[in-house]
Amino acid sequence: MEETLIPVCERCKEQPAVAKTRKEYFCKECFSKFILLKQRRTLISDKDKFLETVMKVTYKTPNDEKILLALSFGKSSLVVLQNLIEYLNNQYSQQQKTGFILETITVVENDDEYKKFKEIIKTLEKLKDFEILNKGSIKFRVVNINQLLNQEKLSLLKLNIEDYKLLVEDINEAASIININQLLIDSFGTQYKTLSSKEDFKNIAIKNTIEAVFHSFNYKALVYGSSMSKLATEIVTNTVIGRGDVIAKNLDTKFYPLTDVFYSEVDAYYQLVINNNDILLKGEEFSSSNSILIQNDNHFEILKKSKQTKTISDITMDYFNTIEGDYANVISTVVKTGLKLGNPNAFISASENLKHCKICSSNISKKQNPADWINKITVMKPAPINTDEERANYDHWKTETALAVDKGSEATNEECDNLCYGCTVTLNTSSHKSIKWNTSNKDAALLNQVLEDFVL
Amino acid sequence: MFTPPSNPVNKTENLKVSQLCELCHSRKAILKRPKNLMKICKECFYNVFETEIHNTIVSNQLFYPGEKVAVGASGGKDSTVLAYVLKKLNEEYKYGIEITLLSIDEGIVGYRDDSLATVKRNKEQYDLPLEIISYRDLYNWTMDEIVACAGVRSSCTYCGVFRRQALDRGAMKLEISHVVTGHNADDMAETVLMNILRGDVNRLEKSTSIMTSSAGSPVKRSKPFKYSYQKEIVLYAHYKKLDYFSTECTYAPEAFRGTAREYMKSLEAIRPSCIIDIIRSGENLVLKPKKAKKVTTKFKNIKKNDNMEMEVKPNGTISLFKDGNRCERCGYLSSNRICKACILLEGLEKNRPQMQLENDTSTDGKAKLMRDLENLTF
Repeated sequence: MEETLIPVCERCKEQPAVAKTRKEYFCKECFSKFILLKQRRTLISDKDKFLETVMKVTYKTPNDEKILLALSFGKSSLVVLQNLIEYLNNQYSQQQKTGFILETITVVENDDEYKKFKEIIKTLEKLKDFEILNKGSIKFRVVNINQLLNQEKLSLLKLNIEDYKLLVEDINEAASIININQLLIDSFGTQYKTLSSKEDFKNIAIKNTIEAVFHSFNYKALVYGSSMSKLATEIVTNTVIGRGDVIAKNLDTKFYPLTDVFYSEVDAYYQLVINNNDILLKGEEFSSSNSILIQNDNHFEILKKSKQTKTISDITMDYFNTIEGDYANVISTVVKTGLKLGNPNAFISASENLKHCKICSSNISKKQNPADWINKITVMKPAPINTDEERANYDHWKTETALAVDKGSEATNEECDNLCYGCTVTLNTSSHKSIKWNTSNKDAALLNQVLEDFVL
Repeated sequence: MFTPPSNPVNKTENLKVSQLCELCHSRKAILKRPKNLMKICKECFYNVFETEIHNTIVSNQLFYPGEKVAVGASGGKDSTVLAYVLKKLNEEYKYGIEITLLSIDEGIVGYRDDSLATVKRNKEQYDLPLEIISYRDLYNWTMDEIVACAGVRSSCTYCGVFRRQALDRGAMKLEISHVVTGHNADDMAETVLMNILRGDVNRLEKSTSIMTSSAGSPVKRSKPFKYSYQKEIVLYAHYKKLDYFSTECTYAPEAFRGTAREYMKSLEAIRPSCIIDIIRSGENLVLKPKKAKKVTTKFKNIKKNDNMEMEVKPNGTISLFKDGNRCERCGYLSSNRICKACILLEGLEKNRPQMQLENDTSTDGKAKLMRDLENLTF
């Protein structure tokens, strides 16, 4: 009888292998070490050794530097959290002090998520993997994005389809309670084809919130848990939606400890080491078709999205999953390419004040002004009217639209070109070409009203 | 009794306002522009399509009066529309350019001979001179022979390298220093994506440039369809009833490019503007300035013949590449001592059969077989 042999770990050459990745067999311990070391190496050597001072504790190290981790309570960010906690614990057990204070920020979208967040925090306290030796070195912060929206002054941003300029109208929405999802449905409707546009703006709202917290409370670094696969997806998705100019900024201003770790590896690590589905806030947030575990006992069914409900990032992820077999290294190549990109506005003279997008706050240079660019390549001049029938149709249209204009109130709107290309295109997919958005700066005082802190 | 349905497409009377073209508001909208999702009529479509190409030509100063321009004509939709539109715009806006059709005969029996027939008809229809350059004359190989010898997998590599050179040589023969090609927005977006996916950073910054030319080369190339969607080009050819050849090359397209194309198709379904969005992104992709590398002086193992000229870049790196270098064998522009085409030819020559059978049909490609099968009758 033929016996199925379990291969031996190629690192320690002793233990039976549990996972196979990068053409190598790993046992549980070696695999866990491999993933942790990959993260540490990235943290220490990243961005011209910016974080080295807090990561390597010496007697000189100040221990009041704060690091903000964007914690979505998905697998990747939990793996990074566990790693950073272990890092702090190592520092504490060796030096009796820690090199930095870790604060996490979680953006929740509704009360259910907020309750779940609180439950997760309670669960974390009992888990050995997340045990914190120096209690004061970590703080969990949470913000409900809807609460934040209700505190802010909203504007109605409307795209003028004639010249792609932005019309800004102040609105007073104090009476009704605003919800981010409702806000997006109001603009884009509920059709499947609008999912990508809604996802794009929702991601921007979450990103804006996290960055506001980061800038308002004096953090040294902003850390994201995105894996290599997620980063590659983001790079390609940004290219596809016309946001190529932000790729370099996203990669250069934030820290990604999992830059060198595939999502399939994160997933395997989570199953092997953390193995707790109760602390996931939203379940599976990033699908991966290929498990690297040798004996995959976890029959947890990933809900396959139908073709209709797929967004651009879903399609991009699927694309990576399908080509991974035939064309290896595409994911790492994309990330490496992304890391080589620079700021497109780097050579703009200091005298030119860059504008900021009213929606995503990215920089807009005069030379690369999206409205001008679109107008240059898109002709809006009609062909002449030739026949009487056509004239009659035109007159009919004119009377009908004149009636419609009379019905609506003509508000005097401020016109500006503070809208980046990506936001212009997404806003153009909205049925009324408009969205209610907060355009004012979120300051520390405002954020303090809605931020809640938890300490384990 | 059967009553035939009314013809809704050609109805012009009593149209609802929502059915009207969003530009002229007087005719029925028949298509939705992928670029800005606007519903427009046929007349306005012709107008915007042509004017946009004219604007691209003018704003990028592609031509000067009296310039001789060769249109790379394959007989396909893009080059046919390009030849037609360019001739039309030249007359309308008085560019003062002399247009010649330049075709390359790769030697694919059953495919290229048919498409060349289309180009020959175009020559008569548009009253433009035509020059055909064949791989057989230039390289003494046809694509069918190359595929029979080197296999179908690398067909695009050979064809791409040879065609680029053939177009240049054809233009030089006609004393033309400007070749315009029918590369459209879809092609350009595909290239931007491919360069990101393959990590080809050297080409990344240049992948969206409308005009390319190498120093030392007398022939420059431009793409007036840079911002024109393939869909709109096809529609234009269809509505204008242009005579074009619509079969894809029978040798498989480059497999990796194929995957990128499929990916883009699925994106287009949910975000029609994605093609122009990718080009916009591509125009904004710049590389970080390279960090200067330490250059250590070489003392050991210096080859005796190492006294050739070398370019030391400002960042300290040394490159053997010199813009304007010539191939030692054929004299064509090359970054290396011997150009890519000559290297490929050398490889092919080694594998060429020593003897050939009389009436040998083994080198006939798929296309020939398909044509023969189509002609079979009972």
